Amino acid sequence: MFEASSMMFIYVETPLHAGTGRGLGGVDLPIQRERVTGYPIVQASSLKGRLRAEGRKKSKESPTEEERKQGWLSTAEFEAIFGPETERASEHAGALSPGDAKILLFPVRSLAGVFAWTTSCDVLARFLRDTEIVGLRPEWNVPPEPASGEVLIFGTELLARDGVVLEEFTFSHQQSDEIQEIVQNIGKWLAQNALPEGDEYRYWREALPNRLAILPRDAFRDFTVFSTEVITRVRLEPETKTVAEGALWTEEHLPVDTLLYAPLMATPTRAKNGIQLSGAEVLARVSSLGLTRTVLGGDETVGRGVVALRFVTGGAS
Amino acid sequence: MNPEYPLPGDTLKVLKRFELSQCQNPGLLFARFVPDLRADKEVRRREGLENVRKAAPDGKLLEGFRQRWQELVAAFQGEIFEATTEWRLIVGLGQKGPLEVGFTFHRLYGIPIIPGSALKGLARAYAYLVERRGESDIDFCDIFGRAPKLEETSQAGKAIFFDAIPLSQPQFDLDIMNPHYPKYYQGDEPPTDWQSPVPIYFLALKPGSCFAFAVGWRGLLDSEGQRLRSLAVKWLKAGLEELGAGAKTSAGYGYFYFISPPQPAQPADATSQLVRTSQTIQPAPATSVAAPTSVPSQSLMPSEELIWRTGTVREYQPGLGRGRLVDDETGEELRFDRNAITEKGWSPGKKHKVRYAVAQREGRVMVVKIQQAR
Repeated sequence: MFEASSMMFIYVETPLHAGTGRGLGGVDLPIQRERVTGYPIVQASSLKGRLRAEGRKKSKESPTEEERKQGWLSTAEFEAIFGPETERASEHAGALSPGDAKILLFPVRSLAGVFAWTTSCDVLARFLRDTEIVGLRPEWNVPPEPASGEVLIFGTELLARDGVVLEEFTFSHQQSDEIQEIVQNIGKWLAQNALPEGDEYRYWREALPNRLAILPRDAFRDFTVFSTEVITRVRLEPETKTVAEGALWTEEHLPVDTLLYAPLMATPTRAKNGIQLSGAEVLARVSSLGLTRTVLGGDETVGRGVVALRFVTGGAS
Repeated sequence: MNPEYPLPGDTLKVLKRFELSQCQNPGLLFARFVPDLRADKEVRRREGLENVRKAAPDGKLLEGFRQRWQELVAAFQGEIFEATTEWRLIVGLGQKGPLEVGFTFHRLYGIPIIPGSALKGLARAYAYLVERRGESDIDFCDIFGRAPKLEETSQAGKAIFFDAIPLSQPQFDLDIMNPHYPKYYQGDEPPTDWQSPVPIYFLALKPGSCFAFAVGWRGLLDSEGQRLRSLAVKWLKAGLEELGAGAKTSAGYGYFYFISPPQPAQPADATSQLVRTSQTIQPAPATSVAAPTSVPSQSLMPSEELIWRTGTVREYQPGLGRGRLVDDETGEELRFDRNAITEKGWSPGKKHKVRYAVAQREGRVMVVKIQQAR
């Protein structure tokens, strides 16, 4: 069974289209969602495929000592961790198992403060449950569910005078000091532990506690369903510069500044090629690939789907 | 209060005490806070657009966004360059929205951007239309990819065209379309003189808006990769300069230039200051594999020796700031733009005798200075 696990935080930097193919609704190309809640996800198979591709890029027959320090893998290690190539797929399973990437923060435009990172008590509670598996222990508790039409915030940055206006909907805010403190703690913890670590993120880490908005679960769900980024695309005929026949379509994307998380779990390696790694070593190899950014989903060549990654291992579990 | 905003009641209550112009998200106002257009349509539309125009984006956010964009582009072996609009720019005019005139904003921050998909299409159109490259050309397919066709393998392009982001604080102009025969265009009547033109307002970016563009590369950036990436950059630059981006390119909108930062006609304001600070943008070093850093083409090196020649102006459009001249000896035709003019207040007329100097810039011969022949 799994003997080690860690958390991978995925921060969306350019619109992310992890799609399902054709849709029957208003959008031609919708994104992947959870069946029951309707929240957006990125399926585990997409994540594993991406990690595998990045691992392959950084593996070679026999890396030098210097390259090993930079996170290079030997081909044997690569196969032990991610599984063999398709034609030898029956030999053994890989050691790494990512879970689906679930939603944690979903950004929504705000009349004051440009935009808010929204979440709900449901989502936070589920996140706490998932961190337990990984051995992460956030020092905060889930606040009580806000009443319908209310929002929990810290500070005044999101306040347009009397209320918090997200898109065109107004929420009144809870003013108790106790609630404010809980929201601030959650915001600070996420800024320190979940947002990307790079210097270029200083602004965002500082902004998060003041722009975190905990919504009633129905309102949060509605935003994740109706407030994703829908981009209309056309293809022009170069000669006539008019839209080519049938070449008008809409694509749904997860907006920039969405925060997702996916557990990474590992078993000891099963390969018979002489490589024996424990689960913890497998995870260490994956996080030392040095992946701070990668691409998920479609439309890579027009700059979409760039995500910043952060690998967090829990304390002793 | 404004009962004519079709918004939920509690939001209307908030708006009693909150001025829309205090909002720092122009894109949000454009998409959601739109007056009811059922009566006095053009007046109301104008009001809605004025709100958008007055909403100033948060400077700190813009700066944070720029830094993040730069790191992101560097992680994908991107080559960055800057360009400035010669005249107005409007991207996404045809999009559907409550105001019936479109405009492409960054979805979350509400600032104008040029989508990577538009830039990829523009570079591809340039390669196809001007350089006559197509899917039978290997370089073309490596850069842009190839659509699946029967009995042929398809491939993804290797160049990544990132969204272009504004370097200066975005400033909008209210512009109009003014069809003189509206009923004719609606197919109801012949184009008769008794129809009254009704100006339709729309939003455009002011001339002199500065953007940062980037082309990244998937896979190994060896010498071949570098050559192809440079080619993609060259096509994109040429497309921006000669084909124009966005809508209304045949009316002079959407053309860019690269030579030097704009000399804004309006007195020094926020724009010029931000444009200057923005020049610190450089691709982050080290992370990309020995990528040649792109140097934004700037004004003349003082040490450069100029060779002066004489010529005759064929055409000059002061509005666009562009013209053509013919060399008196060789008969060669050259193009120039207003940045080459050094004398204040002078603009060359047709058949004007001029002295001019050329220099090689990025592999092209360009007129860098032009003045009145004495």
